[in-house]
Amino acid sequence: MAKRWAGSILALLLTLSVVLAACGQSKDKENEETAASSGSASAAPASEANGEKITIKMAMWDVNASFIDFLTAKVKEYSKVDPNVSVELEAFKNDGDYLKAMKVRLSANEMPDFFELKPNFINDFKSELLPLDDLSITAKNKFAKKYAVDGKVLAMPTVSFPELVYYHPSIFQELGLNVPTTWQQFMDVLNKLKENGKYIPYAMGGKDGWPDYPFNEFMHQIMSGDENYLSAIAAQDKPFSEGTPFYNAYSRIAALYDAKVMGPDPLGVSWDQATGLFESKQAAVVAAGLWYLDTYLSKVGNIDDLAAFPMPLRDSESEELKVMTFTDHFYAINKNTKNPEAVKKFMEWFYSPEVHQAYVDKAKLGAAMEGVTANVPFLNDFYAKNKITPFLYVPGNQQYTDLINATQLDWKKIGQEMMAGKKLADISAELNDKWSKARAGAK
Amino acid sequence: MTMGWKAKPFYYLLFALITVIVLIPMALVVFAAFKPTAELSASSPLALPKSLYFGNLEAAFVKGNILTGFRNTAVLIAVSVGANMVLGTMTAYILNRFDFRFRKLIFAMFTVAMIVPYYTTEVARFQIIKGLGLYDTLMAPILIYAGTDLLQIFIFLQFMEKISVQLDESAMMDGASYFRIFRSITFPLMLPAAATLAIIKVVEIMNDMYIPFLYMPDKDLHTLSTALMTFVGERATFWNELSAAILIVMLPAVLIYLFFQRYVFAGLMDGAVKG
Amino acid sequence: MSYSMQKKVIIVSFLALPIALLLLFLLYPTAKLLQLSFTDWNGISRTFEYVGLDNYADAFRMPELWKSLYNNWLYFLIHALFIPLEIMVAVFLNAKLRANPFFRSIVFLPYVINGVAVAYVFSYLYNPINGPINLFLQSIGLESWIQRWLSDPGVVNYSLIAVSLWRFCGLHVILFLAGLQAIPQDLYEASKIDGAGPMRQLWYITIPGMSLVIEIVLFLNVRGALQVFDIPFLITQGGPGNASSTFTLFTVDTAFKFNNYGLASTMAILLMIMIIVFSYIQKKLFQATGGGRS
Repeated sequence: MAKRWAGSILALLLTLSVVLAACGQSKDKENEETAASSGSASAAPASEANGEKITIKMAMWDVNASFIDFLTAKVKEYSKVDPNVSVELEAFKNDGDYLKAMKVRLSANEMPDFFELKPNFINDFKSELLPLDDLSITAKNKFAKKYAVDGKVLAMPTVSFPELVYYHPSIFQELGLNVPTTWQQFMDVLNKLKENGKYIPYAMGGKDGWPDYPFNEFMHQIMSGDENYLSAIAAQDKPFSEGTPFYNAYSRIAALYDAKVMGPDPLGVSWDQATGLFESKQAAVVAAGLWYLDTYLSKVGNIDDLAAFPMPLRDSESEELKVMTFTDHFYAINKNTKNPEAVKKFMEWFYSPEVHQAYVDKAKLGAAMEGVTANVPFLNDFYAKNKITPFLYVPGNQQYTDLINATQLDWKKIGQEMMAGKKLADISAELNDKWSKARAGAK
Repeated sequence: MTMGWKAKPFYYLLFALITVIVLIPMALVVFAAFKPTAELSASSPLALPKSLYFGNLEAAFVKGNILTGFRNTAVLIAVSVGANMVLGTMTAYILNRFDFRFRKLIFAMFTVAMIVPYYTTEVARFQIIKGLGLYDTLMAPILIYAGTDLLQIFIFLQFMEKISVQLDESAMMDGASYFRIFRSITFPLMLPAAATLAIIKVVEIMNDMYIPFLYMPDKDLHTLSTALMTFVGERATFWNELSAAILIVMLPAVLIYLFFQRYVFAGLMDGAVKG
Repeated sequence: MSYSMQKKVIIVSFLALPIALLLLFLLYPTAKLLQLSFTDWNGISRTFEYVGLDNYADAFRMPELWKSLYNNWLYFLIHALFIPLEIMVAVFLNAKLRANPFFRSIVFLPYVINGVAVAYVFSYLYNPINGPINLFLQSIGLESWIQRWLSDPGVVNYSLIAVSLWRFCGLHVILFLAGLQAIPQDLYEASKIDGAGPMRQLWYITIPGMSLVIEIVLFLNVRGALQVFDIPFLITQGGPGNASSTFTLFTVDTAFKFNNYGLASTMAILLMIMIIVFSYIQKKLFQATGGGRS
């Protein structure tokens, strides 16, 4: 009896899945056919081989809706270059949702053909990416080699940009403030703004959990002076003790948060609200990457009362002024794509001077390709006015990533805890403890 | 039950308070949805809009891809709620009318399903959907929603208790098959309970955004909730635009509920979860 | 066809589809979860290794995980404290009063609204700048009651639980109401003749009469409180820091942010076990205190 039961359920399940697969219809069939055709025509792009229509699925994320609109329209233009190929863009609003969806899809081989990554995601996805070394554009990319994994270029950046501190020159003028060039001056400016009381000195959107990154994520890296700092701490048992770059940077951050220069409730307002205060001139200063420029412009309409200075992480003007320079918007090709040649061809087009120019101009970020200079007067102005040393963001190595995952360490969350009043001594002790245990466990 | 004169003032006070707590947040959404951005920042959120401004609703409606959302949600609801009701009544019919070896096992399976932690099981479920070739089609959520669950079965079973077995027996004397008995006697009699559960299911499907988000990324397959939440995430930066979006997503569910609520209550009441 | 043959056919054919869906979309994924809980799968790689009970040992060594479970406990406790109030509201709604149909629809209304929308609305209500709650408190002269609703680690969980109450109490009330309607009226009449007051009636007729509904609500409360995810995820993402994190929030982060799907599966399995154990204990306690009399 039991056997017969099991048998009939199994039979029904099978029938069911056949029926379901049949109504799952055309979509898959289409892919299979294109897959078959691309296999037979490896030299020429599949589309040209038999005139079959191909859809390239592309995925990315951006906080700025107008940039998503731009890119959606831009990739449609590719159909003019190759009428057999259409590119379908899927946009996410943040990297959290994006990563979740991509990881769930990865397990079922449903990754898009062409997709965006952050520098620190490359390592995670490295076994899923097609090497790009044979593309003609790879040699012309200023940073691609720097982010190669095991000697292979797996993802290519589109933009490079500095992290800035934005301010309203009119407020500085009104209160007779000078642009700070040392950390002490930076703190003085914020304190003076606070004493004056008319403006919120610094617009912190602490509720969102990430807007404290210029401090909590980047400051210790820059202050260490070592671009490979993240990998370096992976080799240490107690990289968070007194006297370490971490401790020095976080002492400053603690003093900054304790100075109460971020309005009445920095942890209660979101990034949108905080920058809303800055945009309506109720707040004076906010630190963010150059990417914020486009958002500001789209909301305010002009940048007449906007300027930026490098975050002055030095004690005296005789020291170098290091500025975090982030390379971002990496794109990679799915190793398992059914149309590798067509996707490569699309990628060549995507990084070609014309398209790349339009991309960086719209993003208002520095170009990653040689021979292209972004038309961003604001950025060019910034470089002309400030003598800085770029500090390139380099993601940590595999060992670092493993330790971060094992300890579930999130620098930005620590920032939130500091704003909520947690003491640095406790943070340092806890981190050291977890870090050394995780290292012992990994051995 | 009647109420003493002492309880009356307390009753009204309590329910006035509940009404205020329930309606105020919703009222604030309606207020903000009709205010232009300038008025929003100038006036108190507790103040009525000076005039009815439709710009926010229009923006949410046009940019939010609402019509596509309506269409897909309607299809999803029609197919999966229909299937869900048929499957639920079928399951309850078998479990109530027949005694067989695996009856306990089946109850146990439905009980386990009640406590399955979602989110972490999504990877395995995704592989199945993909394996069936249903990824990025309306069939994916339809199948997921169509399945019945223990609470539904439970309410159907309570209801079945009231449908006399004698009806079945006399039909059997006339030579009717079990299938015929189910189709022409049991199922029609279960309709009041089915109506209740269907409305609750409709509301659940309208409000779900996780399953459509994960299984139907195609913009043409956006549902009411994914369309609006995409709009909110990408473009609604001001509270008035956000409110307009919330209003659009809230309204159909509220209207359906208000319109059909007597079925909800009637079904629950006489389907009656008995002690 | 004979009825005994028919019986077999109809059982198999009627149950095939519901059971198939159950197996495919719920039970197979759960079995898979159990399997993965013994592996080191990172959620990305194509391969994984079996690590025995390592993940279970690791999960018990994560203090933050168990701290976040404390927040789940708060959800459970406060919701449980509201159950008597919910029963009282249901008793009122059960009376034959003219305004009751209106109040009935009001009470259930929040449950009908999209959960994401509810989260957005309450983020706005709690806003520190121009937030309606703070403005309201100011306008009635209660400035001192103003809190940092979402940013004070000591307050944020209660703010979020209030949202949960707003959303789910109505559902409980309606379930209680359904239970009340099933109690035969003559029991009340008879007890009145015996001289029983309202409190005695409540204790000896009403509560035992709807003990099954109470058990259902208690179970829903355990399950809901242990699985809380949407409300903190949408409003605070578990912040500030981990102050408003919950067990499921922690699990999802472990799986997708910190690439440890094996460990996350372990947490999910532990969660299922906790739901079973706690609802069992609760059921026994409820029956022991006399809820089961009928």
